[in-house]
Amino acid sequence: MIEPLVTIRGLCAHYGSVKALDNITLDIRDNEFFALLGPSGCGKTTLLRSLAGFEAPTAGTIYLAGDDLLAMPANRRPVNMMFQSYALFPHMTVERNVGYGPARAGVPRAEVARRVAEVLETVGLAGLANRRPSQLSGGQRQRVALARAIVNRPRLLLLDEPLSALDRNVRSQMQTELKRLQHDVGITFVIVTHDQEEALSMADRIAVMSHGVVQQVATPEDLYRSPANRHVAEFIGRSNIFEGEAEPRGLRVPNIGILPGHGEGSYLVVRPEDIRIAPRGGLPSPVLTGTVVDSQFSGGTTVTSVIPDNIETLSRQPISVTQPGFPTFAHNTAVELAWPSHSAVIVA
Amino acid sequence: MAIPGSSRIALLGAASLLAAAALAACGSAGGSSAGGSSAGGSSAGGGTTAPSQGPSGSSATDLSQQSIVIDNWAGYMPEDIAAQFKAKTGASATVSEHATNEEVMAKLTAGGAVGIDVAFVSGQYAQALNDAGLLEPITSEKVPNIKNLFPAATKLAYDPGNTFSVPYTWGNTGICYRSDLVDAAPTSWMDILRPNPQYDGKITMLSTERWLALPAQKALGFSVNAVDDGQLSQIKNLLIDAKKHLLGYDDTIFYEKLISGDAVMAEAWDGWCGYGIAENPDIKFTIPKEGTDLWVDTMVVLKGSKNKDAAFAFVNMMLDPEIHAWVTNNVYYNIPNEAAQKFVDPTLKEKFPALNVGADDLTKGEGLVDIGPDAVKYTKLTTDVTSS
Amino acid sequence: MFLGPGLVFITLFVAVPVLLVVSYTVFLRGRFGGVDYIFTLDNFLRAWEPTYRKVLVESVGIAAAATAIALAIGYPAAYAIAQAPGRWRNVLLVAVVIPFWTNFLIRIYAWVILLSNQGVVNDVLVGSGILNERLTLLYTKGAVVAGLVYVYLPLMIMPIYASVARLDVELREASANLGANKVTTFLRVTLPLSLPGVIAGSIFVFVPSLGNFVVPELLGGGKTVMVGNLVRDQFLKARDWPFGATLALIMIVLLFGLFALQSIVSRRFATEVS
Repeated sequence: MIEPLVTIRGLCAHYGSVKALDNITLDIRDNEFFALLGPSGCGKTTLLRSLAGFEAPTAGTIYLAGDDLLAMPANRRPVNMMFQSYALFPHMTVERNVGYGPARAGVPRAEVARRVAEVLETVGLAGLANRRPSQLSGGQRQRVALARAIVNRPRLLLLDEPLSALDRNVRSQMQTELKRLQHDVGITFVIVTHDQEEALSMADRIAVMSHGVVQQVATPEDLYRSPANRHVAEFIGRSNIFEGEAEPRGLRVPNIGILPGHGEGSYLVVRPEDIRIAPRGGLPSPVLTGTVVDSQFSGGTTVTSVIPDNIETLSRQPISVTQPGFPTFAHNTAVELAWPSHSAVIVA
Repeated sequence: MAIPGSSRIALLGAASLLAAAALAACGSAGGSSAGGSSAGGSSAGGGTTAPSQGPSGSSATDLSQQSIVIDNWAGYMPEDIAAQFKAKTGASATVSEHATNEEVMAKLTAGGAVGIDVAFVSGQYAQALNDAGLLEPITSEKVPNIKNLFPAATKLAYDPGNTFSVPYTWGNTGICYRSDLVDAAPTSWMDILRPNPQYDGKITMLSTERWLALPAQKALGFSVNAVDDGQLSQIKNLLIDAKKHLLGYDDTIFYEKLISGDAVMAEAWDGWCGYGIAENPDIKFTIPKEGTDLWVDTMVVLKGSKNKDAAFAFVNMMLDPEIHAWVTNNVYYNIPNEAAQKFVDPTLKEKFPALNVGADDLTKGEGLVDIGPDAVKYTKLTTDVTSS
Repeated sequence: MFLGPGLVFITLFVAVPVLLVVSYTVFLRGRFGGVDYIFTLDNFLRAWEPTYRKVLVESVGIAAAATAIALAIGYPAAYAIAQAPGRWRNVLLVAVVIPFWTNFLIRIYAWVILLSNQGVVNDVLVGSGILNERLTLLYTKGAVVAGLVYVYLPLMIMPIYASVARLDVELREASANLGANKVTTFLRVTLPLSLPGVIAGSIFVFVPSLGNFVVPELLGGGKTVMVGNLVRDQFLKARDWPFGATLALIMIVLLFGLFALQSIVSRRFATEVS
């Protein structure tokens, strides 16, 4: 088995009486694009700052390639960070900002200039070396911050909500570029984000966090298809969740009987695109009946909201059903719903 | 003493306010206010309204419709003076105050009707005001009490015969020293200008221009009103030479430094040395053998006064022996009023030897006069010396 | 239209007095104070005489020394306050300002008590056996500088505090993250970025120090003369308004130069930080 690059064991951190990190154990592999995903206050930023050396955990260990990271002060760690605010030095040009790290490492001046030019080329800022941060657009600043963070070739690059300050168009473009860059430079990326789409589209693996605890670490597909628990299911993608009792064939629910599904636990998760929908009497073995209350066309697919008979979802919202094409059901249409057992998972 | 038994801090507090007010005062001003206001207990005479010789010059006129404004240094006359004036003459009076001669000069020369009828200014300033044609002549008909003055007080250099001013207080500048801390009493201005090395850094001098120059003027045998450039150059050199022996220049709390022992000799106005004597009887005052100045604070009536009868009646009342004696009893300054001497508290004369100096001895000092445009030379001299 | 009240205020309380001062400089001294309206340039020639030049140079030297020392004390103090936990920060800021609640002269007299030959400092030094002889502390240039530093130190601390406290913590973290130790981070990031505060504080200390006449008189024993004393004396003692105005004008010109410098620097930073 390959040694992971970073091993985190039993990491705890407190802010006063609040547990920011609760016994975190995690491995990050070499050359991986790793995402820490969760709502604000879940501890993901604290974990990132502990890696950078800006937070002192109260218990636990972090090893990076076998070295005890917590024993090193922030400025000695082979870890660079791209800050959410970018934290560019306002009194320095782009060139001086990017060259700051190499200069601190004692790299000769000419070599600094060469590396800066090279990395600015990489991030597409070649002509802007002499500008100051105030003279750049948001996207350009973001690239400077990125260039500054990778110019030292760190073992680990930390990115704190790197795209949150950008508008939507630039953001998706940057997502692609970040992915490409990570591939090109061969550095391990750890990104913190609250945006699941961002995490799902970029990361090789994702750690979903809430309340200072890692809920699940998995690839994007596994997270979506096999959420470890209700929290993950709720957080990743759209889902319809029902509460009941697990049985070999599915989840037993009062008044209804068995909802088809597999797994152990009290909650059945079924994704909107896995549900088939038809007018009353149109399905061979319907699972639920209900009434259409809304249909929304969102370009290519339609989301139909159905209030089920004799049952409620966990969130008390209508069941969402996604179908390709245009809306086919009028308001108040009586419908039937069904899904195969293999596409619904029962979790704790 | 002026500032009885209070704590050192409080004293310094009072002194500091003083310093603000009296930075440029001519010896008479600021100190008197501190002395006068806090010394009330030791006063003997004060506010008695004994019947006196009525102002015959104005007795023909009904003054009850007249009102005047008097401008004086704070604490330099009884607080109820307006009431006394009303009781005596029927005229009403308002008192305004100034901190320095320069301040009242600015008011009086600003042009236009300034509304001041009687002003208290030092002699040389009265002279300047008269040269500018701003003063009403004084006669013995208008101010009959002028007969109370010492004969010497009618021969003052800035106004012989008291034609436009009436002297109110007068005094000399000398050396105030700690008799227990010096081997021999100082006798010459040279004792502070070129002191015995053991007194280096334990001497203060006055910083206000004319008095800053005084010790050197007299030591060199020049007039206190010298304006000759050659003489001024010699005076300057002697003063620059003397500076390195000084603790500092101090117009306001030099007596405190004598009391604490930080200084052993100080160029001082006679009245102010008294504030030190009151606290420490080892402090003494002496006039050096080369001679000294004579400063006089005076009362003048402004030409622009609308109620000159009342104004003269006021000046006349201030020369009333009992009223005039109030200044000595409360501010410890000598007054040029012969008739008033018997109302001066005899214990004060015992306590403050400077109050025993007779008018003839006092007026041996050379009277300060206005030197007109040449005053600039003294400003320059002062700057040259103090910045050397 | 909305400029109205401000314009009136500036005209009345700034422009008119300054113009008055400027106009006095080219006239003759009036005998009783005031001015005689006869044109002359003598005042400027006089101001150039060695006596006054020397005072000007020495004043600038003393004010500069006071500013430098206030900076050396004030920067670490401001920095420490900015780093203190939120609750303490306000307490410390109030502590910095508290002396202002006491009368200026009283505070200066306290220094007379401290520094005089028979004063507290000498009592302690001699009493504890550190020194055998009492030092001459009061009435020296050193005492003047100390007094100015003491009086104006809060004016140094406040603007520096404001500019240090405003600095994004992440800038310092970024510097550490890029390999800089604390000293390098301070010299290359914190200090340059707090420069507007340093310059504002320095001007706040330098300007009133240059114009101060009470401290040289009370702590310098009148043996040290500064421009402030000169100007005051021309108006209040010598009744030479034109010359006093000339000296004042020279100071104003000098200070305008300083403000121009400050505005250049702070404008540069304003565009950068925004």
